[in-house]
Amino acid sequence: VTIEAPHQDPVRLELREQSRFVAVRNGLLAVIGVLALLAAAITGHAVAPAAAPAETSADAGFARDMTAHHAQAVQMAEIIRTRTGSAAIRTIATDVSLTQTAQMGIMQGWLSAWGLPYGSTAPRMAWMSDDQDHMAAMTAHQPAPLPSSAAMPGMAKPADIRRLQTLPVTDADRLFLQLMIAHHRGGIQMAAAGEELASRTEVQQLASRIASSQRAEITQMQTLLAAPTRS
Amino acid sequence: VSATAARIGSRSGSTRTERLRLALATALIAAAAAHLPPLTDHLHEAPWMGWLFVAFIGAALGSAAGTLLTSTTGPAKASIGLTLAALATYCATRLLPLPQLADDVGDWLDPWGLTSVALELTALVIAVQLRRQAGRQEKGARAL
Repeated sequence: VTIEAPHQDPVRLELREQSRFVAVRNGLLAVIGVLALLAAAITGHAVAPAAAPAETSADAGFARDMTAHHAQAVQMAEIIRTRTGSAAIRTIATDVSLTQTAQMGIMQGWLSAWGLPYGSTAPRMAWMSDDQDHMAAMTAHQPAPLPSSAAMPGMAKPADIRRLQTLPVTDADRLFLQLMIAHHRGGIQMAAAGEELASRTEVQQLASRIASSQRAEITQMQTLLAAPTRS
Repeated sequence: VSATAARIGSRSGSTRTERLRLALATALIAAAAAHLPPLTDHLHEAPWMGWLFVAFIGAALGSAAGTLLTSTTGPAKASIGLTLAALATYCATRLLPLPQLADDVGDWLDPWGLTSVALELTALVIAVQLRRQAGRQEKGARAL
């Protein structure tokens, strides 16, 4: 007695089923292998510490040169903050002083965390040497030439700093606004280059914040400079 | 006649078991894959959950491989425990402000979360069926 259909060989059917099962099983095992490798790669990439920037990197150069650039801005802001009789100028000077001192701390913190010295024997702005076209294009769009012969864009001359201390207060206020506007324009150029050349996200983000805050301050200072009286 | 029918029944049960094994392995692999896209974010933002994801992926792939390579019920049992634990963790993160994951509270419709839950539920249902099927086959073998 048989209850199997005569045209179907059960052994052959079972063998076919088995070979299909083995093929699918092998395919799934291959997928498991690939996914395991992918998971290991993603995990390794996510938990591996990012390599510190090199001594000559744009990240390190930006941190060092922007620190030096900020130091002069803080110096000018502190001089005028103690001399000015204008509340608006004192507010701007205080803001520049506090903001840029905090940013200097951040940048020096990076250098420390990266195991790099705060200073370097490399020439100033060497990290921007690959970005000369960018610099030239940006400088071409500046409404006024930068009043500095120093290597860093927008830096005031030592004689200008001395004049800030010795000029009558109203003249010193006016000179401060002119110098700080030029200084900020130079800072924006450096920040734009930093944002473009740096590899670390935190450096790019700080450069972007510096550029946007200094643009806003330039507008404020231009308004004060254009006003007939400041009090 | 009864012996032949039992043999045929046994063969058809074995085929069904093999299909369930393939289905369970596929669901576990898919559930593991659904945990890969948010893995980097979790490892950065909530490392403890990131490592739980890594553990889940490893366990799901291990259970899938075990399901494919062995005929024991161990991998199916492990899959039931694993998927229940994953579903419970998902509910906990949506109901309780767990450390570094307080933003997830109430976010039941997160696409990767929903995808994972659907795949884990699928794997759970198949694993339970596989366990039952294995139980029936054991009983049948004893009866013979």
